[in-house]
Amino acid sequence: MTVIFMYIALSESWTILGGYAGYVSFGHVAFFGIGAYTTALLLLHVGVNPLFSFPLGGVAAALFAAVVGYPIVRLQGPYFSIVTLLVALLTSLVVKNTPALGGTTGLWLPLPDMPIELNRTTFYWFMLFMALVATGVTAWVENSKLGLGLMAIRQNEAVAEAAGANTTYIKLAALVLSAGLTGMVGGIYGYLRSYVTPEIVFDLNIGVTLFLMALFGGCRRWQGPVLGAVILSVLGEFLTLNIGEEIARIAYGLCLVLVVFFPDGLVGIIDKITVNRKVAFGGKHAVER
Amino acid sequence: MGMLVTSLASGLLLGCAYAGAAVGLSLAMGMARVFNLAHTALGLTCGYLAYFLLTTAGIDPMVAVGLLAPLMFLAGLALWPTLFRPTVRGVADPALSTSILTLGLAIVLENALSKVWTPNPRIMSTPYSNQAITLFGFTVQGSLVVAAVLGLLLVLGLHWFLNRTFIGLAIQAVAQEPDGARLVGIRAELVSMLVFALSVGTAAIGGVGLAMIYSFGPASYFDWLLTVLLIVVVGGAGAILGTLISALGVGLVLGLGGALLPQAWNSLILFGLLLTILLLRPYGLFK
Repeated sequence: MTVIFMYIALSESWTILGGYAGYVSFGHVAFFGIGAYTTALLLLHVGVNPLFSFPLGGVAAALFAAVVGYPIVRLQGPYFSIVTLLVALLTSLVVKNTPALGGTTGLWLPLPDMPIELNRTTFYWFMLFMALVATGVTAWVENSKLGLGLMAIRQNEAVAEAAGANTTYIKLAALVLSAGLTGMVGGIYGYLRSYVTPEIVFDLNIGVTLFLMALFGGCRRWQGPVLGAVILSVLGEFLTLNIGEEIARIAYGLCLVLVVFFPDGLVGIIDKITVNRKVAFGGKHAVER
Repeated sequence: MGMLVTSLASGLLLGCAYAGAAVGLSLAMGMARVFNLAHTALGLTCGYLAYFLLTTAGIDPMVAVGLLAPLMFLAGLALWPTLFRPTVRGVADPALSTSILTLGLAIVLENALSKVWTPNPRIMSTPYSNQAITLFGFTVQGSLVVAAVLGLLLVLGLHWFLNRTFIGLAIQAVAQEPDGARLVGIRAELVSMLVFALSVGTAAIGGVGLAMIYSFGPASYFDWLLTVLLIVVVGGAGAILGTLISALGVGLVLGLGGALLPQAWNSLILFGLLLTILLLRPYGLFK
């Protein structure tokens, strides 16, 4: 369950830029890893418990996004995706070669001094909290002026720009917000694993899974990522336990292929069915989103 | 000094081999608007098939390429109408939708390969693979020469095909002006399908070439993909000779970097170069 909540939080925060604006980031795991390293370093050097300092992980990731984001958000389509992927690879490479950050061996974090069950439930509640926060923020963005700007960018960026929207600023704001939430989740995750290495917290599989879930559920609305994260986490866990990890990854890959044919995801399909029914029964026409 | 010259020579040969792996992607990106992140994964699959043929039936990889490339061409013909045409047609940004589609394909292929052949790295060993060959006074590895010749022949052959045959000219016409090409009676849909199939077919040649040089595992396609993307972006999508030139440059960087710097630096340079070029000139250096 903790993992499901984590993926809900991650794919919700990805959706702010990737879903509403259609800027598909392949490298969100960079922000996740930065959050994890920030809280780990704070614990080891300052002695602050990550369960208190995880918002600082988010701040660090947001700052990083603000610094590197400006040139990146001006790229379009797959070039944006590839560059975000490269940013994730480069950050992980830099961490691997920095002895102060533990290099490839990573950092050991002493676990909280409490019984294992209490420990588990603590992380459970924190991840649930993060899932709620991320979902809330994303739902808020959807109905805010920022969300309106992002959706205008998705539909036609040139027109949005011509209508007076500062598209670069909007995209950058979305990226920073999204990175901050991702970094907060990362800050908790590093402590949950009690072992922070580049292999674990910059794992590209996490980076791909989080946006697959958003796309699968439908990333035009905040309900989608929740649906996608729950269904795909359960499916992935089931396949991994019963058949094997490779089959689970193959299923994820197939879902990614499938998603291209249903750009609005599960939520879009559900919408279509319900709208058709309403029309058939003489109900109101749904508003085009 | 001798070592430097040798690494320069093998860098150039490496560049030729990479040109073979990159030229198909350049073709697909420039002429069919397909951003194929599964390009090297398809190539790697062929590398594994060639390895399988070599170890079980003793078929030389050079012969295997002759079998696999037409097979992959047919696979490309089959993939286009089923998966790719719906993702290219009527979509606001075909490059983005195909990149998501092919990322999925690459993940499927990677894990299928790891399921069938385990994640352990493999090495293709042929009679000539470790033989030292002396070319113009430089001593280089045999398999590198074979892979470089394969890549060079492929690039030059494609260049000839695109500029000297009727179908090649039709392909260029569709890439430059799809509507105009339709007006003069070219079936643009068929041409896109042909370009895509050609690209997948060449992925086989490039992939087997790279598999002859390097030891490879199921995840190798990822490093290859980044190198190949760097080459295509530097050379400009759709430019065949541009791809060759940039591949030679990247080969030199890799060859020299491999000789002079530790391994970690090599990938740092590679990623850093790709990042810089994508940020500054995403449409290629020569366009």
